Amino acid sequence: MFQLEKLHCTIDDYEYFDGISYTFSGGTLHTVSGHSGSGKSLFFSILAGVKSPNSGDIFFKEKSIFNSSFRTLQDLRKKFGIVFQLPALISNLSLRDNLKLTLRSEAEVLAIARDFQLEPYLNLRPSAISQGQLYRFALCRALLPNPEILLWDEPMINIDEFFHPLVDQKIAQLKARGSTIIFFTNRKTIVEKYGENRLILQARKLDRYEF
Amino acid sequence: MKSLFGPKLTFKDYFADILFDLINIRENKNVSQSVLINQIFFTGYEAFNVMAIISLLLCAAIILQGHAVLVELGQKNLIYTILASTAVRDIGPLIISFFILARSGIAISTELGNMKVNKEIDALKALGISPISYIVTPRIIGMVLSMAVLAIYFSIIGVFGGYIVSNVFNPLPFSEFFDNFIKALSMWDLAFMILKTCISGFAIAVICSFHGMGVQRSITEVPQRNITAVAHSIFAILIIHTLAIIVHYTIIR
Repeated sequence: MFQLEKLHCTIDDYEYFDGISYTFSGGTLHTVSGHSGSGKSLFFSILAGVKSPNSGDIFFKEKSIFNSSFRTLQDLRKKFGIVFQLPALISNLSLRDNLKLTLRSEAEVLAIARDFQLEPYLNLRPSAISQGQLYRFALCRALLPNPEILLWDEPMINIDEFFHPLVDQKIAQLKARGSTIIFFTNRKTIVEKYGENRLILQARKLDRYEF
Repeated sequence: MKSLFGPKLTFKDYFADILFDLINIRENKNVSQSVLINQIFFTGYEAFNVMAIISLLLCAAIILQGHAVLVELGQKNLIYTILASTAVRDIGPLIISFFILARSGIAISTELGNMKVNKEIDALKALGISPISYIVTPRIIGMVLSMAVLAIYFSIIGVFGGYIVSNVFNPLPFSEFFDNFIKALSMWDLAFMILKTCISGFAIAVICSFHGMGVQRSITEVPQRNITAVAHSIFAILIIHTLAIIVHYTIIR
């Protein structure tokens, strides 16, 4: 469903990935770990389609992420939900408009904002709310399109524990729909709790992660 | 639309993407009207007061100096040619370009640089929204439109400034002053004024947005990129204005 094919990536003469090929199955939660400097953030950016590798490709529903026309790519990306390490909300838009960038209806925006207790802040700009709330908005933006691929860099860390059961419930719903979920984390507790398929980036390859 | 996805942002690819986006603007649903309106408001409307003061003072000062020299030479009527050159043809568009670079060009470069560091650009790409269509193209259009309006505004205020000073030495009704001024102008002068400011606005917006988008990870890159954006924009403005002067004075006149 979500297939990596011979990904090579070199930055400033340092080779990060040496031909990584892997298929992420649907309906499963995968964790990707890796020591500092192993290229975890770069790998996340490439999977999110915001950076291109030197060679190789990623296929989603048999369509190339890096060799399709921009229009096709735009359509494919609408099936992705991505939570960055930073909240990455657009600073000159209201939080409501940030959520509406996903092209979802007002009712859907209100529903998810209500679930995460964010409804009173919808008309504010990102600079007016706390970091914890920003991360919840970022998660809402990723969950709104009911993504077929959910990529989350450093999951759960910036979300209040009070909301963890709700997040677990949303993730379970996505898995039941057959979505592919990939968490990028170094935290063993997260890997143990969520990782059904545990992977690690080491020696420029993607391997199974055995504790 | 590949320039923002590759390992390194190159000006050639970035410029090609912007041209492609501008050519296909009618079909593009991503162009943000709110960004366009904000840019026109910031670059055009909010600059009106400062621009009026600059224009008034500059034209008044040049007429004051010009008058002293021209009277001695017995060429008083050339004051209108000097005013046309200051307010409309040469100095006005140049001053507007530098002023807008210092005010709005740097703002674009800084804002986009900060958005890049905060991963807002990546978030747009991840949402299937082209950052060039959504945040760059509206800024370029806003800049070009604002500068065209500011050029006309600068000329009008400059003529008033010139009239006020000139009236002290040589009292004339405004209609007569204006008639003499119009005689010193040609349609080419007006066309070149608009063309020069629009091309300069385009160049400033493209160069400053390119440097903003070129920021990679660190907030410390933003001021460094700003400095480069200013240097490259000044260079581009001078080339544009020099070429326009060469074309105007050697081919058209």
